[in-house]
Amino acid sequence: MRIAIQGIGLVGGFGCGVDALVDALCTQKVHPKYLPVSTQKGVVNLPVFLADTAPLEKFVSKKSLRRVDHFSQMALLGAFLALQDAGKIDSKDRIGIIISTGYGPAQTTFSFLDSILDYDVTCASPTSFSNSVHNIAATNIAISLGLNGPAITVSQFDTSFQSALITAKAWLEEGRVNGVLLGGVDEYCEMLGYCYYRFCIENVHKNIETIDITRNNIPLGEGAVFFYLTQEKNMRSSYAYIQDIVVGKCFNNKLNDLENSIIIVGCPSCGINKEYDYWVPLQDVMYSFSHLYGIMPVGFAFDMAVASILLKKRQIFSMKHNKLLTRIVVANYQYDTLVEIQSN
Amino acid sequence: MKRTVLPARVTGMGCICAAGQNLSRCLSTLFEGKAPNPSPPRRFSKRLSRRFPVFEVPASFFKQQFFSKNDNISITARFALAAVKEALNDAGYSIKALSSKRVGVCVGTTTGAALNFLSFYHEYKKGNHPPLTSIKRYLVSNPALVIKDVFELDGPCQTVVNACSSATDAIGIGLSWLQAGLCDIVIAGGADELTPIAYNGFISLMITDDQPSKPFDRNRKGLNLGEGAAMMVLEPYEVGQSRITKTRGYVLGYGSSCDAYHHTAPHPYGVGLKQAIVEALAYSGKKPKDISFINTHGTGTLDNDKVECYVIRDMFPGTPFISTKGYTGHALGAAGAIEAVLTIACMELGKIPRSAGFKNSDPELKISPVEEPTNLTGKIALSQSLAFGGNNSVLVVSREGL
Repeated sequence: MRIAIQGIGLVGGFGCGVDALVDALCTQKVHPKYLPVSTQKGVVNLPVFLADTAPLEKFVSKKSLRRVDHFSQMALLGAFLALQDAGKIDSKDRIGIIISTGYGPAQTTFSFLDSILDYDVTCASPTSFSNSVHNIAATNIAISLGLNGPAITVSQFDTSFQSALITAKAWLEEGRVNGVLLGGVDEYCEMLGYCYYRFCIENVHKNIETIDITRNNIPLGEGAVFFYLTQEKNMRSSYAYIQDIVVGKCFNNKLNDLENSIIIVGCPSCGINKEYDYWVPLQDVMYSFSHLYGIMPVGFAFDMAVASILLKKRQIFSMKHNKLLTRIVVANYQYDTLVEIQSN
Repeated sequence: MKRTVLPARVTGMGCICAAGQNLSRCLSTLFEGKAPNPSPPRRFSKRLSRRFPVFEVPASFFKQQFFSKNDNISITARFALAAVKEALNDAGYSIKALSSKRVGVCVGTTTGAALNFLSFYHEYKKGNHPPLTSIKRYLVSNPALVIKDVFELDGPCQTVVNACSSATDAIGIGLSWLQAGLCDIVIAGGADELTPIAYNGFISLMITDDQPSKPFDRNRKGLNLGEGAAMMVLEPYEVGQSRITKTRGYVLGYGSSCDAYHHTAPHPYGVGLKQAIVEALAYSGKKPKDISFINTHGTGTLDNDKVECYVIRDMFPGTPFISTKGYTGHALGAAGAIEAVLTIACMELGKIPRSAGFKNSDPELKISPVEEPTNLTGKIALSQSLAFGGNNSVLVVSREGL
């Protein structure tokens, strides 16, 4: 069964909404902020693509956002935009929420640790604690949108989104829900920047070999991407269809069949490109857009959003591929997972 | 009611928690009526706001076991691997036997995927640059990923972080994966360890009891945290009969619903819980009258127990119910799996234990859990979890298949 992508909602360093990402695809330029991180060599300014959630006030009053942290605000904005993009939703009764995140609400988690470390432990903040649970964003979405269906959150670093997509497809196939709001959310915080510096900059003494992706030059990122998904039989997609999700051993077989297709490969948030040699022959059909939204665990969700937009517009924004675009494979080569997306 | 999905066979189970280092020991604890005595945490003694009792798993339960080539894995991961190992042994699977199958892993957790770098972060805040040991441990200890890696599995893999319903959801998702034909086998369950962060966090919410917890008791004051893991080996109902040497039970259906009401409190009339139960029963093709007992979430907090009793009175009048948290503590992301495994094991035995911690009926609740070991008259039960975020998740499990 194919899954229809009905709506997409996005917020990231490139701005807010599908049009903002299309603009970034056209200009190929997004400007990071430089944020200080204290290191052994002194303060280092790391480039980071930050997400601005100010447009959320179009959907939710400022007052009701008072206690909603940045992580949940990004998720809320993505979810509202995805449903708006999808247009009329028949019934909210049977909509599931599945959120994927590499690290969860990082800023709030460390705020709670601050409340333990900076004051007496008896002053640990109950608000920070209850907002630091990984499923806080799903909760805020359910409350704001009045969704009573199943709501789960998945967290496993770079494979979070792909894994969540598998469950979204299974829920739709068994008819547990009529639609799924599937999201990927990750936020930047100083501690993550510091760890990134320690792992990927300080301890790396030579440039990592990459293909088009010069990971050392890609900023860290944060943001949210949401898809509103339905069964194909229920509604024709306004974007594209998820044809297949592949994990594990079948991965390489799928990549051997790339006729009329391109591959979008993201940049892993940790680790190195272990399969470099394998990918060299595929360079002609391979693209990466991580430089527009940055490195983050749920980058795969942004890659899938780009694929959906390209298939809708039947256009590649950098022109090395001239064939009619009908199929895109979004691949995560670190973990042998891929998603095949087809046009209408 | 018409059945909408096929059940999954439970061909193996494993459990480690304060009640015992394996499922057999846990059952002995339950039916000998000697609940472990919770005490303040010993594994971490710094930064404790007050000394509240917890159900800590003794190091002797898991220290000597071989888990992974990588010694630097979290206790949550150790719990998870111990429970998987027991469950796979129970099902008769070796790593080699699994290599030719599509084996999915779906595991619930809370602390096992959280940024619990308290000491590292403290050093950083002081201007130091500590070794990355604890960060590396976090990166190699994600419960589902570590199971996939150690047991060399080749199938979908998911770590569910849905607060206290995580493991119930993980088992329900495993059922969906089998239904969708994504896997030949799913290893599903939950794992969680006690941490100073969760410990202080729950105390800050003022929902912990400074004495052993008393689920459904008139004098209940809150929960005691616990830890551990439980895992099930799930296989399709219609798997070749030649492979199946035994089936310990069945997962008939799963339902889940969000209250969309409050971040930490359940809906006072259990609207979401009822919806989850209705859905789980519908998937199972069963009716409320078919349920022989309910293994509740039963934390011992004022709100949780009130809501669960309200729903039981309304939907299952006269049905026996228990809370096993008086034996295990509240193991957060592992709780739903520990309880589902204990529920199936109780059905195998044909009896349920007394609800530890309960002594005095609460007139406001109007009903009470079982106070003595009780023989079961039916073969189908509910195991339910309520969670922060308003999640309600329910499994219908059975001793018999269709």
